[in-house]
Amino acid sequence: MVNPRRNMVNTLWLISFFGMVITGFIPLILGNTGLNGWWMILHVSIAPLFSILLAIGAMYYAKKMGIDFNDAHGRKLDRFIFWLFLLLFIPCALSILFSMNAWFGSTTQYVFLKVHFYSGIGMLLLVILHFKFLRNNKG
Amino acid sequence: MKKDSYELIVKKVLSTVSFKKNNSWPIINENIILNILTSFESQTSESTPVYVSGGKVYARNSNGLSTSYHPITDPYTWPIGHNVRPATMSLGSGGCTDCHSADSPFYTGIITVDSPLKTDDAMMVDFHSQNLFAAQVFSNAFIFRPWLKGIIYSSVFLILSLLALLFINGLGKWIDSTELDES
Repeated sequence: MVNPRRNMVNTLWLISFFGMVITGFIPLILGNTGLNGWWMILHVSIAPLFSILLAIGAMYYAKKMGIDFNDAHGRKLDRFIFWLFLLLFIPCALSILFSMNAWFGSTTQYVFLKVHFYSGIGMLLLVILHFKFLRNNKG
Repeated sequence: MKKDSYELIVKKVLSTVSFKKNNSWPIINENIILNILTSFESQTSESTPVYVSGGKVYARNSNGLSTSYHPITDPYTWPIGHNVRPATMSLGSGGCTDCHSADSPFYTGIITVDSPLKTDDAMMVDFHSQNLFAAQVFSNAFIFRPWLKGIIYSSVFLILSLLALLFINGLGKWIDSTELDES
């Protein structure tokens, strides 16, 4: 059964995810060594929307993705991608949240940035993988 | 060229220049620099006289005065204290707004070149490879920073709860499948 609210959350989340990808990776592709200026403002502005939509979306899909290990409708690969994506979100979010405080020294701050960067790449690869398998499945 | 020769030349030219009321450097213009350099060149010398000020080297050429960059003009970067300061004086020790506030000197501080030559002032943001408006918009957004953290921490908590639930359910399923309690 189609759940319009779940579909809306899913669509908005996907838009915010691509917003995060564009504002996060395009400046680096363009040759900047880090995020600053308008790219940073956009990235930080989209981040809370992205994370809360992800959390709501995850709750909508948790049962379908087999959180109770019963009646799991989705394919195994979809479930794996779904849970791994959520798992990667934790270091991605916490690394940048911790770096917003003065709790850690410079070396740890650099490690946090690396963790944020690589877990972000991991999340992007998982979404690409998801769409690739989705297309192959339809094809 | 003897030392007293160029001292005489400089003194002669500068004698016409009045000092500022606050006894700071007198303002000398490019014509005065050109006069001094021309006078130097008229003396016997093995090298080309130049004037160094405000990060530039001024030399005389056929069109008058030319400016160029030379590493020797770089700012002095070994200040008193050998770059060592108490942690309480470091930027950021007072929180994010040490730098990220609309009027923070980190972005809006004016840098005046201490030199007799009239030079334009620079603003700190000029050295940050970004524009002042973007920096100030970002700084003003810091009033929403606690909301940003709150929303993302809540999302992390919800997702961690789901992952914990998945782990517990998985563990339960595994225990069921191994039938540990029946052995």
